[in-house]
Amino acid sequence: MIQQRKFLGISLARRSRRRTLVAGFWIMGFSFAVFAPFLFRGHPRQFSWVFLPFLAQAALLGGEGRKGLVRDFHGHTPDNEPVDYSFMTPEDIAARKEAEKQNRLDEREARARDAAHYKAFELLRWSVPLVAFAAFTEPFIGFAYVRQALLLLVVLVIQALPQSILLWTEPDMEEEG
Amino acid sequence: MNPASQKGPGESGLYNRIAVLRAERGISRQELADAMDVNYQTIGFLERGDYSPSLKLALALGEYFGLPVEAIFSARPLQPLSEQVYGTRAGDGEKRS
Repeated sequence: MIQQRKFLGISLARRSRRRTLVAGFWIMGFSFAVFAPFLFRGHPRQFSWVFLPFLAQAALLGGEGRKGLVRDFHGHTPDNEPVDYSFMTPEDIAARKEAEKQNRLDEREARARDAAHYKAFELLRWSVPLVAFAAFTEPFIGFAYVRQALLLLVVLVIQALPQSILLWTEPDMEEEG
Repeated sequence: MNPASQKGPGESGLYNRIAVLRAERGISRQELADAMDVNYQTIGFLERGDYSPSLKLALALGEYFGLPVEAIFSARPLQPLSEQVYGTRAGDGEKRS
């Protein structure tokens, strides 16, 4: 499920290194969520910082598209319906098949992906109502920055939790061969 | 039980002979993975008994090795292949001599 074995030249084959990376990501993410609303208040485009977690997740953790540490969650799996190649030229079919081959998830990977999403959902199921409760509680009402920080944190958690769970839980990777 | 002849049960609760069969036939993990259309890491998971394969993959492995599925996977510890085929146990040779 991990497609990128190295990050900035450091091997991520060992789970302990991946865990360090995930911990670093969440420390930075948490700091960003807490401080961004304060740092960029009054900035004409401060709303655009909401999209930063998306960029961080896409560029670093992966899961969406071919970039990032984790393989594309949307890759074709053995349980998917056969692909419809009608009305495509032979060249397009060949290119599509090659792309599918690279993005393909085998049955274990599809199962690991689904399990990570389930675990993430279980965490979110309890944490999001707590965040919503906190945002509506008396000390926070009218305190826009805190609510913005909480919302940024929720966005980050929703975007990055399944990838983080996979990076955290996948065992040490073996050498090819 | 000969630990070299089988792996498992790991997290799956299944014992298997994939590593032995692969070594016996000189097949790399990558070659087996390509034949099974799975990632080579998945073969490692199977060998360690950390992943329980689908029936489709188990049958494909059986077909690839030319063996019935129960010769490759078992819920109980598998006997070493030599013991199963020839009825010899580890140390029998020493006793005879």
